Amino acid sequence: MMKSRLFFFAFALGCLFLNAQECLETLFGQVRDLHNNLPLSNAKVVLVETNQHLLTDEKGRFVFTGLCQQAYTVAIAHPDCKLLERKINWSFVSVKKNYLEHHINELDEIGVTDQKQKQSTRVGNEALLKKEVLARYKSQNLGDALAEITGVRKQKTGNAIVKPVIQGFSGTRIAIVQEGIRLQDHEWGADHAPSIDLNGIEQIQVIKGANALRYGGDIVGGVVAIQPARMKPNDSLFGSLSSGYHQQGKGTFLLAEVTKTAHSGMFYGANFSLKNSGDLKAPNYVLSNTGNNEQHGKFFFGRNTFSKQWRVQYQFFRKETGILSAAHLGTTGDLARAIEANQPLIVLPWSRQINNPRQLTQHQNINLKYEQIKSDSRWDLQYNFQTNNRQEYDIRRGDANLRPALDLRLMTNDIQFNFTQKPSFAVQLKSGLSAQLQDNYSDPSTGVRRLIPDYIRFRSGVYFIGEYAPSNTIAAEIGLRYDYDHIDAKKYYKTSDWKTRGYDIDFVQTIIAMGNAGNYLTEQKKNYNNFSASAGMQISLEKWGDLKWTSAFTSRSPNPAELFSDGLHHALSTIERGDLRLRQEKAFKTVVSLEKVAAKWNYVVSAHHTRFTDFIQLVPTEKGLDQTRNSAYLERQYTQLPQAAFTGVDVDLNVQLKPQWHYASSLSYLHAEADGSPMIDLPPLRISNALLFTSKKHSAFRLKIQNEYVAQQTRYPNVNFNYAFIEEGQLNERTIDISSPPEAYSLWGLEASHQLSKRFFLSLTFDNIANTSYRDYLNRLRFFSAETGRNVRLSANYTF
Amino acid sequence: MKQLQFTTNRTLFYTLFLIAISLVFVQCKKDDPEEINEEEVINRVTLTLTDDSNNSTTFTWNEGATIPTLTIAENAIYTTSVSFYDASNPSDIEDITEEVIEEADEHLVFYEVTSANVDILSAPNDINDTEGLPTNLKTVWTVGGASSGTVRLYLIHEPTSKSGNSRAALGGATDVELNFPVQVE
Repeated sequence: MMKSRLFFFAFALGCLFLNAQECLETLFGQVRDLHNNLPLSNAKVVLVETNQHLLTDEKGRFVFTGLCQQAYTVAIAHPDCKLLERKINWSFVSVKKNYLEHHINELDEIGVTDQKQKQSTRVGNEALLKKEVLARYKSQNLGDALAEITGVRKQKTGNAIVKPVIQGFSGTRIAIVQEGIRLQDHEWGADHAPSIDLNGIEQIQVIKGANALRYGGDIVGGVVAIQPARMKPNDSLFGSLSSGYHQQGKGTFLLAEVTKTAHSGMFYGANFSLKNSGDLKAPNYVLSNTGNNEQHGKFFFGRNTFSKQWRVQYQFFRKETGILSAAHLGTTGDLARAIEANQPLIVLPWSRQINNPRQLTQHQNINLKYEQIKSDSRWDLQYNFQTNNRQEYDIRRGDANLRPALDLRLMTNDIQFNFTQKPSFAVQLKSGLSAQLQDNYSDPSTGVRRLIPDYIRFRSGVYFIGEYAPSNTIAAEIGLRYDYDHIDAKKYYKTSDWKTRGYDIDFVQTIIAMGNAGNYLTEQKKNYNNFSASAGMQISLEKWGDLKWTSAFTSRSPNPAELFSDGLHHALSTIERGDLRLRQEKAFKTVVSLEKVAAKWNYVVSAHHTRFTDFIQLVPTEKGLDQTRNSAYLERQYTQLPQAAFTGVDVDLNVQLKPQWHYASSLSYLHAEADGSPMIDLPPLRISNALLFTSKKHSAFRLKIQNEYVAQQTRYPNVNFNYAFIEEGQLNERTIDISSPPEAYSLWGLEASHQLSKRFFLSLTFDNIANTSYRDYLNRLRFFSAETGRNVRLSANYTF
Repeated sequence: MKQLQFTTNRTLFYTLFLIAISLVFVQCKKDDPEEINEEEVINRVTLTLTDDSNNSTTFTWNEGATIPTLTIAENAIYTTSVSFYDASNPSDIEDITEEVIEEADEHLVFYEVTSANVDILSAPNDINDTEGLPTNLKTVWTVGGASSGTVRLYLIHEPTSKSGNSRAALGGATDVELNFPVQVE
């Protein structure tokens, strides 16, 4: 029974290169396993009409040449699979259609890409990170791996807190989706890294366009979708074991994964990661207290038959990160001295110990999913429960050092239903419903004012996406989404703050009690209705590649951090304040891109423009300093900018110079302004170039030399402040420059890897070979120290 | 166009089961959160200046209020003690100076003077840390001729050095930084 099921599909691309009258057409394609999307080598491909036979190469590819524009039947056979036969009608029905028809069953697993046109799997190198690439980043952060994708950059707060930035947007404006469910810890503010472990991840995709609406209507940047491997219904036990050493921090890691699959379709497995690192080093000094300790694990089981799948998964993620000692400040005076010193004020001998200040994040997730696939439709139902816990330990007095200064626990329930249908050959319809209930708890035993208050949030959404691809050369899509968002928060406001901000007039009815310590207890109920829409089109301009266009309107409700933040971020001696008056942020975004994938030349040129109304940003307040505290702190407030515009361009180029040599280059540039003024914290121009050598035989040896150039950001607002130093009995007031971006920098890297045998894989990587001392504008710790210097990473991987 | 069909009742059962689970977590209302009595907040600082004839004057700064001017006599010697308080709750004022003394190793009071003729040194009855280094909680102020200026007071937490003579040389994080205007007359 099981044997008769289809285990692979053909991924075929047709090309009409030459004069249509002659028999000079080429048909090339790739055969992939339907379940794990891996290329199938040695599959037999037969062109029935001409009786031409071929075996696919190690990448599952095949090429037939000298064909006429007529209907052909392609038969594909592989020892492990059932024979697949497809008729290809050259003149009307393109080969891509053939692929589509089979592909529908697997659309969400493999077809999801940039514009989510089915053909766009071809531009996967732009928006897709596959296991091979991920394997090289296994021991690093999600943000590091994502930076491989054009248009995706990383934003750092400290060395282990790395967040992705997509086309200039980060945090709450992008979504990180794991197995279809959005990770919820963004809602707490800016300095949180996503709780994602790269071990055991099959592939990561960045989704933009209409299909992003499946995950939310508030996603301006894009969706980072993390997909698990799909299990094959055969008796097999496989897995891998990796270990390695990082010279930076004398870091070590051990990663293990194992999966057992059975003929019946049952499968189960687990994976674990242990990572440990001590203090990192900048070229000239130790970055004290930058150690890092991580433990992650995942267990799953389920059953996958071709038409049905269910899966149960539990995962945990625990990460303890030291915050650079020199970044712990008391007052703006400390910040002023730190900036003038131009190097960290606290440099201690190297250590593996993580002391206060430190951050501890814990994430747990239970996921239940059921999925049913038919020839022309599929649906899935999913339930997910996640807890996100974040604790921050500060340098305090006495026993308080053992207690966190911030202790947030966010519990989220998600339930989701998605339905995909293919009523006709050219049309595909997707729709879905989702509901979410959140409970945030902020532990009062910290003895510190809550940064984020206790709240309950309920969200519910419904979406519809239609895709129309009448021919190989044209495709269109449209998406609509509606979200209801309700927040019910109970928050204490200092009576003095309450008055200063004018809440005593506008929000007087929200007071429910008067506390004993000079606070009002208030209940803030907020309701938002968000409508979002997206439309896109793709036209194939034979010679130039595919021209894609997407326009989207998104509406985003202010999140709890933006509404209610009220507290001190010690690392920047900044007080962050929310604003109860915030309205929804609306964006209209247009992206136009030209993409070409060919044997020698591959490129993606994409331009984007986003116009915001009521853009929410954390900006320094007019007075800049909050003098009401015992000493001065910088103050930033979530503010609504009436108009903001982001314009940018991303270019990605990949050329095959010789059979074994590739050259790759990428560029990202972003220009943004709000009411004619530059905006803060925007990524500067970045250009990277790489030369890659791959030895012919099974990619056994790979060598990559790369350079990354990051320009100096020249457009930034002035947020400087004055501080009076006391020097030789004199008060000297000077301007403290916290606005000027750091200088441009250029880094060289070298990566060598060798597949010693089928099972053993070794890699050696040098980052920042020249040990260049540099600072990055997007790193909020740039005021205190330079970035890390040279790093040598060695890793060994054993697969079984 | 085919319609969506649930193949078995089992599927329906699963659906209901999942919804039931999610309902378990549903709470429509939260309890009122506990009010936080902020600890370790230093929002009151007092300077008590005692002259040779044992007359003392106390200058008090409260968070949010103007910092008082220290009016002191010329050519005099004062013994000064500084105290830090958490006065968030008026009915339960907490003396943080005690915690500073308990953790004398991790704390240092530091003064900087501009323009005014005032010299500040650790007092003989000062509280020392375990290494015998003064905390400057008690200091002797030697006042010269009539002048005016600023006395800046710092409470430094975890200083990297206790021997520097500028704020930058001491390291650590500043818990309190106050500019007291000083008038010597």
